[in-house]
Amino acid sequence: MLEDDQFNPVQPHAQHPAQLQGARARVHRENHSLPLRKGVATPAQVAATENALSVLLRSLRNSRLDPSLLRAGLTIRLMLDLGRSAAQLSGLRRISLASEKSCPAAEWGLVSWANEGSTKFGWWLPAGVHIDPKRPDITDRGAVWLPLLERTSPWLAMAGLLEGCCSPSPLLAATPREAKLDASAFQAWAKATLGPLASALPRVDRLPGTVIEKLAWASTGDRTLGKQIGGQDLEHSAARSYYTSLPVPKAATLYAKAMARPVSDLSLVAEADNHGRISIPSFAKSAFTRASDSGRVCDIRSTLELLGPKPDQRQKDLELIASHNKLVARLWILLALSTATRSVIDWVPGLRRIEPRTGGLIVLDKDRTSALGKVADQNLGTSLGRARLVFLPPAVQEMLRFYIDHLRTLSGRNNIHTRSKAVIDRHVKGLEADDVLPFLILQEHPKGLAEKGLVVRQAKVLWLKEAIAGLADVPANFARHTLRSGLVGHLPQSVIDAWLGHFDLGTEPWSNGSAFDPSAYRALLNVTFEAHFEAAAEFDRLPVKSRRKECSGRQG
Amino acid sequence: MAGRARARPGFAFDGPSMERFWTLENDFLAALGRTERDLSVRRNQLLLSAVLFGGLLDAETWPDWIRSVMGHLRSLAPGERLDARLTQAVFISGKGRNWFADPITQNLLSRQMATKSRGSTGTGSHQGSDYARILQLGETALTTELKNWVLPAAKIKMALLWPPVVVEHCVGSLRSASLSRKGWSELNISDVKPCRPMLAPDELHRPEPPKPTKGRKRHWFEDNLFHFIRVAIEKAIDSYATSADPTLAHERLELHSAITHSLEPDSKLSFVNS
Repeated sequence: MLEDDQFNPVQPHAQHPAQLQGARARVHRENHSLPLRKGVATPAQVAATENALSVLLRSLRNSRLDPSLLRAGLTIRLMLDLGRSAAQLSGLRRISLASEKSCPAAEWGLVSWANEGSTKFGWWLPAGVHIDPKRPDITDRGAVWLPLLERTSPWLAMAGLLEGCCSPSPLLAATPREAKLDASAFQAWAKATLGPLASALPRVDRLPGTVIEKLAWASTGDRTLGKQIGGQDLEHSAARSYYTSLPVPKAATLYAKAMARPVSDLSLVAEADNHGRISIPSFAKSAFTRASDSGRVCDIRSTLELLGPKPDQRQKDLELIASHNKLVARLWILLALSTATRSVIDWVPGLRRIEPRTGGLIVLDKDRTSALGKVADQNLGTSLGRARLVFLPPAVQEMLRFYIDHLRTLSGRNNIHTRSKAVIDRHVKGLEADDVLPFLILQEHPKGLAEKGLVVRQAKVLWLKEAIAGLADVPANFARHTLRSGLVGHLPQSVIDAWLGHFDLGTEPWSNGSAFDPSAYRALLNVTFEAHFEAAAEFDRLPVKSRRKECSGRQG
Repeated sequence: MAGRARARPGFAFDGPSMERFWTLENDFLAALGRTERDLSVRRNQLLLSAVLFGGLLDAETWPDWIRSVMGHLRSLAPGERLDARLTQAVFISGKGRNWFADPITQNLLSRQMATKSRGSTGTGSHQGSDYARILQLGETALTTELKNWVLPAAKIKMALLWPPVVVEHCVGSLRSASLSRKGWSELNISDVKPCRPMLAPDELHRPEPPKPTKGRKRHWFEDNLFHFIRVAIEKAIDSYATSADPTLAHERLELHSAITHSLEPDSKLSFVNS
């Protein structure tokens, strides 16, 4: 599996010969881009292209034009709708599915399938992916499903592509060169027909970027998401790309929302009911925008529900072992989620590290190992390295306090081994101060429970993850995958980036000139945590007394 | 430090010192109802208020600030009104910049007029607290005390609530933060304090804005402002579009599409299969 440290968004640029100064500057320019930037068609230019396309379609219907212009017009239409360049569109095919469960092997294009008596259509296309020049062997390209826009269907109908057919047929030009020639044929036609109005048309290579811009400039939009959906390979943000793996239905919904509204009032928040509105064949429903399985969103809720109730000191030894260890696993999951920890989290922060009113916590999980970083730290008089500020939600703080209380009562238990007692006492003392300590799990003494009692030992996180929490199939830093993949489209990119510690040069959330608002950041984190995880974080709120009454009632 | 980008928060905090700071702030707020007679106590209270709530985080500006405010207070005759400008902005000559009063400090300043002639009560119930001690300090001791622990914690408080660019301006690292007077006030208003334990005293409540004289006219105007702007823009486009100059064709089209696009409430796109 790829290590997180390999995805430093800053350092590799300096090392790779293909990304020297000019290329690096271009990447940064792109990251800082404003709406209506150079290289992407402006709304006015898009509107002019739409006008030209409607004129062309009308002329084609009246059969006054060379039919070869139909392919040229369709190429431009699809560039605007699918966010792909002419070269990327070449080679797309028209695919008819025998059943919606069958997956076209390495075939991309317009997919049709029969569903409830009618024929449905949609685009099954390769997603954009980050290509690491140092590791070309890793192919991680996922797929996206894009709904067929109503404005595209007249073109397809005229080309006879919406009729039932069984054999895969090419949609557009077969080679990139021919596709580019088609695009320029459109421009030549526009110049000849529209006269001075044709000067409002943009260069054709500026059309595909408009889809990315629509997805990137929404209030909860994200450029990585835009590039994945638009099929553009990412030149920046390896880390963001690494953690962003959307289920295909969610990506389809976000695309549909972005295309249906003007940029100004767009919020990409995907509501659950919208998933049903776009028909997606079942083979695509289970796909993701990244192919490798390290980015799967973990089902936190059901995992936490499996972990069961709070430990009770009145439990018998074996029961206590199980419930204590489940408590540790639960705390581990919640800390990982709320701090978006980089590596395998095996620490618990002491209470004095947490800011008492806001729940702020400085997380330092990425040392600056390069000499440059160390010098920068020295100059600034800090040793904070790549620290991040996160806010622990109240539910997690409460859980942390419960864990400390629980440890304290555990050390007073009779059959805890003497040495373990000392360890627990030390931990309690450290956690009430500002130490950072590993988790303690409970076990039988190797020489027997009856003779030596219970012992504690430091938890290995892999063991916690697999044996206790049952999360064998997710990566150890599942929280970062879960947060980025799950929240993209729900939260502004700046908030997710600050949470996860991702930034591009010049867009650091905590730099001196940054206007990143910590109050809004905290509010959004708390709301998110509440909405996504807090219901699962709450456990066993029933007071112990009432359950005891029930038990005694039955006995009586 | 100015102008240098950094990737991580420029502060680290520990729980107990922040706890002490929040206690001080709570004590301050709890004691706001009382009025102080002693001028040095008032000075301490005003400076503390400016540090806690007004972002006066650059210790170098404190002497100037105290001179400006206290000089004016001392010069007032009994019953004379405080200069309204002083309650809004204090010009700090040494740094050549203005400091804008937050609502609490503004309120304390404007109260000076009333208390000049009236009697007052002592510090009362917070005997032994940091707050009561700070109020009794001399100017030098006050500065030292604030610098020792209040200022670092106040910086952290601001950094937890306000954007870094504003904090850097407050601590004196960035010369300008390009915020208007209104911007500063709004920063104070939108200050998110999730668990402030007490309500502000009655006198801190802002007066109701004057009601419009003619029924719903004010709201009518606000609702229709957008409409007026739109009409004005459309008129401008029309006159532009009817100009005879053919070289304007491209710009005309661009402007027209940009404006119609941005004013369009919803585009007419829909989806096949939906």
